[in-house]
Amino acid sequence: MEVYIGGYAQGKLTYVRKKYPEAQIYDENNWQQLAVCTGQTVICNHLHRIIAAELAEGKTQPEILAELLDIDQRYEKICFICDEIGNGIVPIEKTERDYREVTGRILTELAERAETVVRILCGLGQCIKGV
Amino acid sequence: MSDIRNRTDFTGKRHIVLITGGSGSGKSAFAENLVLEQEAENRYYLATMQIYGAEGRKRVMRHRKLRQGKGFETLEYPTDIAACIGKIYQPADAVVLLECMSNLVANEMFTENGTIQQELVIQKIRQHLRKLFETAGYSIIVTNNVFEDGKCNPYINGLRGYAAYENYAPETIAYIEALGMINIWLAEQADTVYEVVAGQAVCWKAKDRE
Repeated sequence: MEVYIGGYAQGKLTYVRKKYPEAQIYDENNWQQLAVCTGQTVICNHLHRIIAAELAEGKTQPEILAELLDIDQRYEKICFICDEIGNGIVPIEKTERDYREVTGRILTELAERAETVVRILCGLGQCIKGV
Repeated sequence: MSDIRNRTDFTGKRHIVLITGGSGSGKSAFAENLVLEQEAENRYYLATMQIYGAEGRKRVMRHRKLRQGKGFETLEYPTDIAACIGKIYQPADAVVLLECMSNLVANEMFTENGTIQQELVIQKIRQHLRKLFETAGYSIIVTNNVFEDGKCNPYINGLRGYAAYENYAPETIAYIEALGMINIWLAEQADTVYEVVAGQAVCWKAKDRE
């Protein structure tokens, strides 16, 4: 598993595609397909939006994490791409707060299991875990 | 530590530095010190901020005080920055510090004549920057990291519950995207890229590293 994190509009997908040009790309619109297939290298883009949608449907943090870990088992390599959404003011509204909190916690869990974690800024990558 | 995968060849080019960071991170002071470290004849501060009201004036005063006695000449161009080139004496030996891209993009996009299309804003700014880079011996560009607060999710049809989350207005998202794309382009052009955090510079790209 590899995790790529960075702000909005920082060229994250472009960066990962350069590394794995052959990989199929999934996002919030079709990521459910990942849970019924198996394969080699895949890219799961917009993880934060997937988490947002799952939370909006009433799923809990452990449930979402379990789903993602199950997906991880199905592929030789999966690259999760996620926006950094936690570097702003903590919102008053609970839904907004939970979205940021749960996204952060899930990322922490994924990063702990990932062999590589890369932070992306201005289209550049900095490896913050692994080689 | 650093991954310099996207490193390009810079031979024959003048030196370009990109500095990013959050607001209040100390990137201005770092950029100014970097200018002072250069053995240049002429130092220019290219200010892009449109000054509005007391808070704006206060910011300008603070920044001017920081630069006092450091031998900078201030050029104020809230838009059309390449126009400053005529004011630069012996540009090949000059250092130009542009502060800040976030102001410039806002000024070029949100004009008296309404909002300018994202693609046109990006094209124009790149064109002006190219001219500056071709002219000035050493260009230092300060930009802003405004991409990490989680309010940039354009609404997507068919995703249930998604509209429940707060997002910026579409024109603000268009602005943030324009700044993001210009930053990516700048990082490609730059010899050196720094992120300043709590006054400390983290190097993301360096010409002499591989």
